[in-house]
Amino acid sequence: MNELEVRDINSYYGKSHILFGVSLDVAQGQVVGLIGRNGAGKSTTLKSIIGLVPPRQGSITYQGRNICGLPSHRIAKLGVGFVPEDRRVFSDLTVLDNLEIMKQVNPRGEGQWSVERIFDLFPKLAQLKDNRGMDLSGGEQQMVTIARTLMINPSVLLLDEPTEGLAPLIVREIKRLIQEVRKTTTILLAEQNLRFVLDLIDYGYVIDQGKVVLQGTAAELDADEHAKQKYLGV
Amino acid sequence: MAYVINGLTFAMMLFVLSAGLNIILGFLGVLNFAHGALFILGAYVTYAVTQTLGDFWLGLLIAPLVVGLFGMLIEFVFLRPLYKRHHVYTILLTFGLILVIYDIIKIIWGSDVKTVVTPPLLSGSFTLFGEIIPVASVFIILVGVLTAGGLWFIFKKTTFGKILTAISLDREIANALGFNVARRGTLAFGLGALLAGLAGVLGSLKLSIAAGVDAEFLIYSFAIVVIGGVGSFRGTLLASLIVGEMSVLGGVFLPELSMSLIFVLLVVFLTLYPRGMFGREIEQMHVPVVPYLGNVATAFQRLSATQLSLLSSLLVVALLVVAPLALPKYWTYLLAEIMVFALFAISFNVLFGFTGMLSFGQASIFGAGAYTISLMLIHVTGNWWLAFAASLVISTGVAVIIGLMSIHRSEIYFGMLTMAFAMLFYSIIYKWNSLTGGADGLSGIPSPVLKFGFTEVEILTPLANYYFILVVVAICYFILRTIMNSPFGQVLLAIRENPTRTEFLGLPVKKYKFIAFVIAGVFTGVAGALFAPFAGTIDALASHWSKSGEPIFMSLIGGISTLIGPGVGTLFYYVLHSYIVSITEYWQLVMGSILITVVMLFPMGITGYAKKFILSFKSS
Repeated sequence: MNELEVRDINSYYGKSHILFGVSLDVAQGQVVGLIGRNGAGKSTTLKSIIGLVPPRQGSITYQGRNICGLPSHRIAKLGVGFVPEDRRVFSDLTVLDNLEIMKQVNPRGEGQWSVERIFDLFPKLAQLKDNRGMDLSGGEQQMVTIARTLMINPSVLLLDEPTEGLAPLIVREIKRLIQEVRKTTTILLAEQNLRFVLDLIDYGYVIDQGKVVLQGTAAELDADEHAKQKYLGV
Repeated sequence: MAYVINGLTFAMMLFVLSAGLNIILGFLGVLNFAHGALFILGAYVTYAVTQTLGDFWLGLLIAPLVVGLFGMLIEFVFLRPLYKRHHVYTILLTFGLILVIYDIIKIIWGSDVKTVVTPPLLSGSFTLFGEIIPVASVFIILVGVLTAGGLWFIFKKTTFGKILTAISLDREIANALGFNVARRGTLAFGLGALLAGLAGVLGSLKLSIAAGVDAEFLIYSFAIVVIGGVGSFRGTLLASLIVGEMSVLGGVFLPELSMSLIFVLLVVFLTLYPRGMFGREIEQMHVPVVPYLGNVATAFQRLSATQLSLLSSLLVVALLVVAPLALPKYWTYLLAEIMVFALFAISFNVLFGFTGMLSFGQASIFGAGAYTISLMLIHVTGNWWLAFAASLVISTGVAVIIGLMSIHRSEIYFGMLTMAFAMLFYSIIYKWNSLTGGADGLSGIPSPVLKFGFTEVEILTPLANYYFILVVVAICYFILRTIMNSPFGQVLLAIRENPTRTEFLGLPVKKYKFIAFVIAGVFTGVAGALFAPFAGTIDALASHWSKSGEPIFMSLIGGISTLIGPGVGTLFYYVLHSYIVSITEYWQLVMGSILITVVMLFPMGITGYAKKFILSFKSS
């Protein structure tokens, strides 16, 4: 069963038309990649799903329910976890507060993610728990933003360029986190770094100028040298 | 020592008020001009409760709650639909609310001054180190300290407070993470209003209660929030102490300068440290000021360059030429005044509607023009040309100074900086008695004499005044029209739509903004120079920052997307105003409601909708 079905969406920023009939499926338990260059429409697709940039046409179905047009906070409460690009941790709050306030979104604490589990898995965050968001490094901020979203125990996680601008060592750490999360959570991962996603994803969509131009399994995408040249500049 | 205690008392009242203003600005990005009105409403409710139930302590409990709930209602009904638009619309809405709240107060409590009977526990005083200290002052200081402690606890220790902080740091992400940002925004506004109400309770112990006494508190609160820093209660507390003590001690030891010093401090902070002592920057919105126009906007501009619009402009002038023949004398007089303020509004809108810069400093430039020509005519020369030239030089100079210092800031900061200048300028005019006549102003300004070669014409009769003003305003209008239709004007429109992109195109945005500011300033100065000799008197209120609100109102009613719009708005405003005043004493309620309606439902204004209609007519 598909956890998430995006059908033919058209999204706009004000007057600018960004997405032209994007469709994609995310099957339960899979990691699906959304791959493309800067400005190809990856972020807009994720923002359309979470409701920050509601599509003007098309439909988005989550667990069989139409979520198109719902306010963002309702979509999030249904179990769609969004991790924005550029990190955007709550800079004035401590690491612990960044995680703890999320209990309000999931007050019964259902699911397996808790502050303790996150700190167990990433002792680094436990050490930093009293530091304010603004005092963290880029990689630490990225861990906090992912952990923050996990606190709502999402059944599907939208990850927007989690490795952008990070050092290789931290990229490896983020990868470890994603490997852990995928055991229990469906993931839609937007990335421009093809190498990073290939051994993570089950299936991938290549997006360019607001349209899906190619799709296939990781192996299929990797084999298509022409597409890699044309759409990803690899 | 007694003065220090007085300063501390004043500071604590200001702190409670400013903390509320800070919450509303920090969490919702709304510069709440109605905060002073909520403060005075709190004082009135305290008065009512004390009168009817005979207990001040119940007032202390009830008044903040009433004002807080009222604030939540305001946020839910009026402000919530406006967040997606440029912040000017929320500012204008709170402007309209002031008028409405004042008249609600008048309807319930009448317009005479009220005083609250101090409860026995708080009356009297005691002696400490040889100083007499009123118990009420100690109570106010205590409430201030408790409020500070309470706010610290809420925002540092409770999840509710931490979530509010998270939302204020990043609304969009907080929303996407599952927080109902809109609902918490209502609560935040309610909390801010509650604090205004609480400050009103404290104020009722010290003040004579009347609508209007809140204006000073509002202005000091703005200064405090900026100096202390948005989002920081620590900063608000410290800035309250500075402003409170400066105001009281300064009032005693430096009566001429104390007010100006506070505003100098404000200007310094806004120019050099816009984050204040401990704050953070307010999120910028990057939304163009003209809403809903879409592709029609460019069509409007094309149309304004056509001969059709030139013909209609000429038609308006022709109508104004013959108008005195058909109108009663009073209306001829009024129409002359309307033309002066139309010029004021049109030149304001060159900045606002055409370049996207909302300035609250235009009243200073208007005042500079008006005062200079008055002083010249009184003390130096009767020759209008000379007096006018001097006035033009001075008002342009003021525009250059404000412009140079303000254009580096954008959006809400530009607005606050120009407002700070307006307050500084006002405080100078107000206190410089020997030159400006202070609060009384200048009167008996002689009518100007126009010299053309060997002939002299004295502008004496209302009719002569009317035609004189018509000629000057018409010339100014056609100059402005030429400028706005030129490539230069097109660049300004590009800046309004997207300053960043315009900069990328290689155009020096700041330079263009500065030139636009000076052009607007020149014509605003001309309006001031026309006004003073025509009215025969000028007083400090003409340069008060709140006067800068009038051209905003007129522009919006008339339509900010057209050059003539603010002129039409001025005419509409005056006609409506004189009609409403003739039928009801609650004209503020009606005007405020109209402003609110226009802001919420008809942001394109009269000419905007007219052009849209003509355009749809032409295309069908």
